[in-house]
Amino acid sequence: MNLPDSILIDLAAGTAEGALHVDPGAEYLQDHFPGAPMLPGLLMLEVGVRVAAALWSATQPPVGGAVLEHLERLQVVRRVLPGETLRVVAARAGDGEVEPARAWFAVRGTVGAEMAVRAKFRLRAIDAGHRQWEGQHA
Amino acid sequence: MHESVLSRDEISGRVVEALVQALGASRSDVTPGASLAGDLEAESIDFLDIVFRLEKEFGIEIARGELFPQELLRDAALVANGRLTEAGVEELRRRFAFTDVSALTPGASVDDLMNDLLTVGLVIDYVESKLQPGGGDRP
Repeated sequence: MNLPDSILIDLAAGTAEGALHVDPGAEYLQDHFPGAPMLPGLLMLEVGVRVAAALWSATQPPVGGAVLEHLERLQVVRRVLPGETLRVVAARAGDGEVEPARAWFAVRGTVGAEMAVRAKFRLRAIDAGHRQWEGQHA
Repeated sequence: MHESVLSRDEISGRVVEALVQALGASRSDVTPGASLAGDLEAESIDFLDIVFRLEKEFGIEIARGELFPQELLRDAALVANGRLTEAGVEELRRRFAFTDVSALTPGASVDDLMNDLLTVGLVIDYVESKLQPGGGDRP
């Protein structure tokens, strides 16, 4: 599963935008929920994390990847239904740099002009060696 | 084109609706005294959407940094060690001449400023001033 379908980085604006079309046949809709399918909030967050990580990778020296370390806020205010496309924009949040291996991001997800999800979280960079270790033990 | 002759209440209602839509906030939380950053947890990325929605709702143009001065507050001549300089106070008073910012003083914390100054009421004041004749010409 591609998650999201695409990510575009706008370095000048300091943002990245990802799009996820909710395919009515998607596996993740099968049990969420029977008879009333909708994009799980956790997947909205996952899209936000991946879009933010892509932005981070594009604006910093390459890292092996990034993981969600701390979720400050997750606000889901609209359902995203099969056939709809969720667009998620991410930007760095706050002016304070904590340390090179950590960064704060704010993300907004919309369907058309309607806001669907907002989140603020901190990502932690992982190095290539750690990633390899994870792969060996998966 | 500007909306013609809207009452303060009409402007207020439409600003509140725009903020509810932009922030996913409860209407009851979007009161004139509510701080955008502190109470409604708005981030820089939200400010872009708020500006877009206000422009669309009222047919006005809002120049970058005109309503939300984050970039201005990163100017070393206006802010030193996270606090407003005299030049910073002067610039903010000029920018926010549409509302009462008499409490601004040199030395004020920028973080506090963003929390205390940028309220729903300030946005209403701003839109009201933009809808006045000549209001769109403000720097």
